[in-house]
Amino acid sequence: MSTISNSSFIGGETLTTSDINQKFQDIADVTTADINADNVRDQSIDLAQMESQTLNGKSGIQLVTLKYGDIGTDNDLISNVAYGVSRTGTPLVDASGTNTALVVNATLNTDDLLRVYYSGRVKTSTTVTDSNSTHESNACWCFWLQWDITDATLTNWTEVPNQGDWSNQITGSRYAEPTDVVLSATNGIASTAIVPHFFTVDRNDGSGNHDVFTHEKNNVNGTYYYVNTKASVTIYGLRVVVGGVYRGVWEQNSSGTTRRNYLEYTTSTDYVEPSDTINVFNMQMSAIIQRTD
Amino acid sequence: MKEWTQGFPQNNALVQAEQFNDEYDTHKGTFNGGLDRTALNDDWCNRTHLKNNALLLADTTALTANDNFVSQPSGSSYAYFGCVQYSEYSGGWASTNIDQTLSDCHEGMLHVELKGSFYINQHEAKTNTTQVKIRLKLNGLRIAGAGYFVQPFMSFRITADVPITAGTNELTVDWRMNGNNNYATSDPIFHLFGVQLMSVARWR
Repeated sequence: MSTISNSSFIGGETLTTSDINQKFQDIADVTTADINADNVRDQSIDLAQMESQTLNGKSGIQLVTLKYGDIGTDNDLISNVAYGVSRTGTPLVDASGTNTALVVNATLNTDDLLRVYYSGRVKTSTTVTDSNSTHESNACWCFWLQWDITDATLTNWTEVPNQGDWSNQITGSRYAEPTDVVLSATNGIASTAIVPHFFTVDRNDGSGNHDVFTHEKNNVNGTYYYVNTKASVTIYGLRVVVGGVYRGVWEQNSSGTTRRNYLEYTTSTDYVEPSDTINVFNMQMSAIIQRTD
Repeated sequence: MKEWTQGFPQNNALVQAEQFNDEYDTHKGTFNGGLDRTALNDDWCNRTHLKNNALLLADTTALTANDNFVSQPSGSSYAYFGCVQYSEYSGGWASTNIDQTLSDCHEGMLHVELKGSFYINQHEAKTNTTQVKIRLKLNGLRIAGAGYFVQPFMSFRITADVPITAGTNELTVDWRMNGNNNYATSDPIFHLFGVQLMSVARWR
């Protein structure tokens, strides 16, 4: 406690220098290192008192780090790269084929919240026809996040926590990620953004036939939240990968017991042909590390 | 800040105890709860000076999915999600089990984000394109909405900023879709999955 609680002098008593010095020593003790809530008034701390940086106003009280930048091709309307089918994903590259990433170089401390946003434009192509485009049009591509927490060379990429890479085999030769829960740090879709591979429209002519369409221009909006409950970790970089084609299924796990919803990688021609692609234009990414308390 | 209002002893004057006490107590009172923004230096306050949740509260929910009114196929394997079937949905806004409770709030502003993905069965929609709306509610009152969505798959992020009161605040999520699209009663029609709420409440 930093309250000064000494008593007053009494008239008529003899003072010594140490008596008086002690009075001021009490004040010195409080103001040297012990000022706390007992000393300040309510509402006494204002913006001016925050230890903020001149250029960005960041005080570290809420915001720890904010980084943003381009992923993939140049930031224009036409540059894009075509990606083929892939179960475990392909990193987004620039026009010359070089992998791209957002350099972060920031520490995610225990209890800090990592927020990552990425968005961009895509278009898909398919040769799937009406005759085999069945099963409720649930064919899609997925984008998800990887991070490098090893070193600044950005050569050691792994999926971010609570995100799988479709290497999880649920049964037989079928690989999938659960969509409704996080089964483990490497088994989930926490950072995944989904875009449809194609969509079908009933001709409504009584024939039961459908037309197959792809979205010539489509958006992808990815979001990732992660509260670090473990030891502090340095995030050197973040990048986006794209994989597919996946489909929604209601499936048992490998032991044939638990059943849940998955996004499952598929090569069935009901959903995808080997030559199908997704073209990805420029993507913007921002990463925020902030305090949770 | 308490002002120094007492006079100083004059040269060669005899200092009385009461005179000293008045001056000293004024000085002491400034430090005993009288320091304020006019007395405190600029640019000194950082995380080390603040207790947890002094200024804000940030939290996010676990990954989840709407499992209200959800029928799940039987059998060994099914090539669509276990999700809302047409026979289960009777129109209007339908609630979900996706929510977030923010406890020990103070009066301030809440920034909230709802992110997730959905699947709409357009393949079986025979008469119209199925259209879906999603809304976010704070303590039962709508604060943000989005849609109509029509793509068979889509990932979304809905953001709102709204004043909050002290105490506990509750966020909930609803969805709805348009009318009869001539589905068969057992057709899967809609699945909301991979959903998380992220809230940053600030009171200073």
